[in-house]
Amino acid sequence: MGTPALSIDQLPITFRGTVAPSEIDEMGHMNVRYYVHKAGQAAGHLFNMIGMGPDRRKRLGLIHAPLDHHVRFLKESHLAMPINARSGIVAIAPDCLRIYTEVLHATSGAVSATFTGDYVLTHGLHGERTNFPKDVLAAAEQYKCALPDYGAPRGINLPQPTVIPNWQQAEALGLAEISRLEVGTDKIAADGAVRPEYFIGTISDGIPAFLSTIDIDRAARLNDGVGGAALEYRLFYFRRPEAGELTITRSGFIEVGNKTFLHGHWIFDQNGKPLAATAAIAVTFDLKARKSLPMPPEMRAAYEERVVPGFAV
Amino acid sequence: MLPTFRSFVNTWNIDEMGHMNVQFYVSSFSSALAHLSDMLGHGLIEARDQGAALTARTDQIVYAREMRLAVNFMVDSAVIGVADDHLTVLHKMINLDQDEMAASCLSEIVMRDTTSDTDRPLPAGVIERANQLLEDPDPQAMPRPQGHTPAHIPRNLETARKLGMTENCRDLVQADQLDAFGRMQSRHSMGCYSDGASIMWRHVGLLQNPEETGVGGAVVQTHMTYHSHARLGQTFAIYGGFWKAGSASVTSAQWILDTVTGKPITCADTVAVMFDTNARKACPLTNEDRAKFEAKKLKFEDIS
Repeated sequence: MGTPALSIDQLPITFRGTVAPSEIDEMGHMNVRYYVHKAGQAAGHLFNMIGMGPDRRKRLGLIHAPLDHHVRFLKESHLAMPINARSGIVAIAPDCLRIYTEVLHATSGAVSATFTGDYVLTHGLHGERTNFPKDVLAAAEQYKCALPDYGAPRGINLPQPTVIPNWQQAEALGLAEISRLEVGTDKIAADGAVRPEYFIGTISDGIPAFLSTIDIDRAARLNDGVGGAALEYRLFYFRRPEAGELTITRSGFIEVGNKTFLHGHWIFDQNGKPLAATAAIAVTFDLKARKSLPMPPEMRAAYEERVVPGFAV
Repeated sequence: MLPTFRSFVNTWNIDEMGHMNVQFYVSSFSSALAHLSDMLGHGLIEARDQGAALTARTDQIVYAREMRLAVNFMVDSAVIGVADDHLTVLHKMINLDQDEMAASCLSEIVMRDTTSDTDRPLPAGVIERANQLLEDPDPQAMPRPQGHTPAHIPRNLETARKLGMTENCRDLVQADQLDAFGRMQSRHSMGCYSDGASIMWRHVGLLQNPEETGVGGAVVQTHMTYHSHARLGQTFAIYGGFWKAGSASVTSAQWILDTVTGKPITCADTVAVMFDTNARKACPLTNEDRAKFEAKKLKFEDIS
């Protein structure tokens, strides 16, 4: 990679909005799926800036989509907070742009979350991947930036998935089923397939059930002001399903540390074919002090017992 | 029973009563049917290929327990009856945190043409698979008998006006309300009923100020009949009124009607209670409440 054209502070604003009441979850902060949604919108604006906006894509019959996301959650976002995002490009290949986006608290300028994702162009939903036009690649050079340390992988360093999810293997490993859903039309992007935030959303909705099988007083703990929060996510998207398709998420613990735990998820379609794989690091979270808590020894022991040997993402 | 849905109660599923809104029970049962359809060998691909999907003709939904924020839940489903033209399916929603039944849905499932909304005979393969899955109903999940609008009452705009039904909602079908076949999802019918219910309560002079009193309306049981399916941009209106008051519950009729043709899209008879959001329990009806219902109730006997 050559010299970055832009410092992080010089990156263009690619999203402006406000945290809506409907985006706040039971932990009192913006749910993870809405960060991914905002990062997706930001990528759309960046594509427009480099000459590959919706008009040109439509004219050429092309769609753009992320192959993956690496996400760091650094600071909570609360109700009615103005939110900005700025984006740049950390790597350029003829058929792939690695886009970096950071979601900011607009008033303080604090970085709330960072996203790195490889974006490609395809001929329609089911068509072949294609190279970016030369003028787009040239324009992309103008938005090159270096990945900041706070946006780099910390606890999950997975450049590629180490394994492709396999239903039979999920059965053999005894992975827990944490969600069983139908893709609704309200989850569909303009290109006709599910929006990427669907995947992190199914995991976010399924984790409480997953933890409830171990931490049986989860509801009581929530009443006592103890919840959970995600710190880092690695998401690989293999196929985005369409409306009416079915999804099942199978999950397990991969590793349990002193304060954090690493959990993994394989998401399948109605035919047991892989749609996505995800690894995530989470902490126990004090909902009053709004900070992470050390994991109680009994919880850690219980989680360690549930680590699935041989399970990877 | 077979596991057909598994999810979580999010903040955006909670309504002003502090519990999961009825429309999300319906959407869970609809998704459960999608999973069951796949198990019956007639999933999305077959439905698209044949232009017909397994579709609920009726849903009888029992709301047994409130579902509060951050509850984990699942739906188990069973085929409990097989006929040439329909299956009888029972869904049971289970609150996994409390390990108790939260709701159930008894459905008549037909093979409905996704363009014309006409019903077709069930394919032999579906009948064969359904017979393999056939099981006895879980008695806990079966709905109790409830009152219905008499069968001879025509469900249309003309009758709604003759009966003096109130107009509770007027809207059009939006793109994100459609299912995979371009039909308005049943969840949104229930959502419209839920939104429109306060108009009916106020029409009879009750629940005028739920925010101040802490007393609102809560649905106990609903019988939905899907006559047709609204499509994108179709305009509709909901008409309704109460027609029976018991010691603790009231029964209403609500009809979603096409505003152009006046024909029915979905009709529902619903049993509801007045619900104290502080005590989290139903309030009995007083004689004064009942008198208000009597004064404004729909009089089916006036319709020949």
